[in-house]
Amino acid sequence: MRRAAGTKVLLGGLSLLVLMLFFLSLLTGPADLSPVDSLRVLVSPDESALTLVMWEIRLPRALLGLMIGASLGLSGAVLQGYLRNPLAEPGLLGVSASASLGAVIAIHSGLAAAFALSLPLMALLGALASVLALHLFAGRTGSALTVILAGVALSSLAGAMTSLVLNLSSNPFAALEIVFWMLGSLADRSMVHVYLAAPFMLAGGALLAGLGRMLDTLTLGPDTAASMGTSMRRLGVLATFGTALSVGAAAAVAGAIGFVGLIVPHLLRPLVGSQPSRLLPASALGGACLLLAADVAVRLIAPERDLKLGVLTAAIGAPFFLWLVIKHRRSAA
Amino acid sequence: MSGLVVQNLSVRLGRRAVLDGVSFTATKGELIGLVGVNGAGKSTLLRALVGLLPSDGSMEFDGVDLRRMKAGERARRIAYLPQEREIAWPIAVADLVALGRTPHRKPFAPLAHTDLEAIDRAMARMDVEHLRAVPATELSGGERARALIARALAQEAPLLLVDEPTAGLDPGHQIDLMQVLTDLTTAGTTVLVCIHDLALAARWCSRILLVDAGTIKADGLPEDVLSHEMLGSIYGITAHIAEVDGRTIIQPLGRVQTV
Repeated sequence: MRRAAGTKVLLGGLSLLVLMLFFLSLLTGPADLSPVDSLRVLVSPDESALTLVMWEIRLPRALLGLMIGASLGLSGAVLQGYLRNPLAEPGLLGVSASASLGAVIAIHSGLAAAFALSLPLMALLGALASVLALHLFAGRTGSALTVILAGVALSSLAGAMTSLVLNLSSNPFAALEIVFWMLGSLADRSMVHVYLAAPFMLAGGALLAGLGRMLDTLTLGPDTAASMGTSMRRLGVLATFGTALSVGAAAAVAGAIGFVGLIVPHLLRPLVGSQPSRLLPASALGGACLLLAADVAVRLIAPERDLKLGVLTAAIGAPFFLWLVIKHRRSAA
Repeated sequence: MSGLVVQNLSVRLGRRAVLDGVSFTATKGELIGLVGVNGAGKSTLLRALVGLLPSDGSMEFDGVDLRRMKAGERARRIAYLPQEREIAWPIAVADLVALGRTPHRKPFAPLAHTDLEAIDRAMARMDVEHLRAVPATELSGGERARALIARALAQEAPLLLVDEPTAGLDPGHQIDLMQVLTDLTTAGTTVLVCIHDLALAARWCSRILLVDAGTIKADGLPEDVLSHEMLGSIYGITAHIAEVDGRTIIQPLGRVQTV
């Protein structure tokens, strides 16, 4: 209970950090622009090239970093709470892999070349199809284990189908485009991507944000949670559909960005007294911080080489995951 | 009719009837011990009452059909402590006990003054106040059990269902717990407790329900239900039964010798 004050301080600090990183993201890029002018044209746009750069390149990139990071952080925290497993992450449900499959089909079929928005739309379709399939296979019982098992199976299936498309692709350029898309990036996205993803992310975030108290009761196991008024079925449906909407939309516009949803809740959990309800807002803000920072980093580390954001998060995330495994092994021993 | 009225309650798991036509009433202020061998259906009975299992028959509390109650409404009337003592995250003991107030809270509202009082009362009763800030996953077995019981007490429901609460507690805390349950009944709470320890059941419960193969074999005062004949036929044991200060004392001695 004393934690409540500490959590407020943490949320305030994280909000401030998000704001700073958001501006840093707006001011980072290959074009050497004056920070004051850059921010000025955002408030009052004019006919200059600077306005074009800020509104068409920098702003969508920063906004997507913010939204996608928050979506990944929030859904990661919800899934870890729902599955009562600190190693759970949004990718576990097969949503990201299925979104990738949708996008890959759009690229392979030439649909993406003919109509650019067909790529994110197909990816969204893939994400929604995967969560419907998840409920078809695992939904009834609402047990965490069946959800994980069905998610792993769906994830593998989507991965196999993606490989099949790559395998059969006769066009090397399409194959290269597929591979690059799958690495995950926020480069060259426009406000159209923001408008496309935002409604899904907001809807998904709204479904997830209210689950805190149910997840708190689930700390004591499903039976105790149910005896305290938590509907396990409702919780399962909201957690998976909320994740599918927000993470599916993220994957649709940015490709697969892994490990954010795993690391962020894990790092912040000790700071909120491990209470799932307090972790949700903290993890959303933390996810936004991490992704904005990583997206600034890829532009600073290799300005000319277009280092992919998904590559950086995976390169940081995988060793972190191994560290988690070792820590988990020690505490289990 | 006030209190809990259960009529012809049956639970099937697959084709097997785990509970078969159970009927009993529990009035305000009773401390009822559910005894019986492993697998007799004691835990199933509690689980069915909280709505964790699909069941047939009727269950009413204070004249209201339990199945028609909304989950939150039911949670304000019935607190349940399962046998499993799972704690998924290292939350502080005070936060764990506070979970018991969930059914009483409005969405997104912080803990109210009445909530904080109920939490403090429950922690004091279970002697976990000094562990307030300790992560619940770092507690010893007995402390963990007491913290979890405090959670159920904090719910302050008029009907309390507890499954093997004394398991893992030292004799001192076992007696403390039975005293707490007795105090609750004096204050008007109805308590149903699944309990294997016949000595504790005989000493503390005002009534015993003997569950056997999904039915209620006997229902009455401890000294009437826990007789030499019943202990022999149900548990296959002999016991020393005595009376001290008007209370029944049971000490199991050994297996019934079959010739």
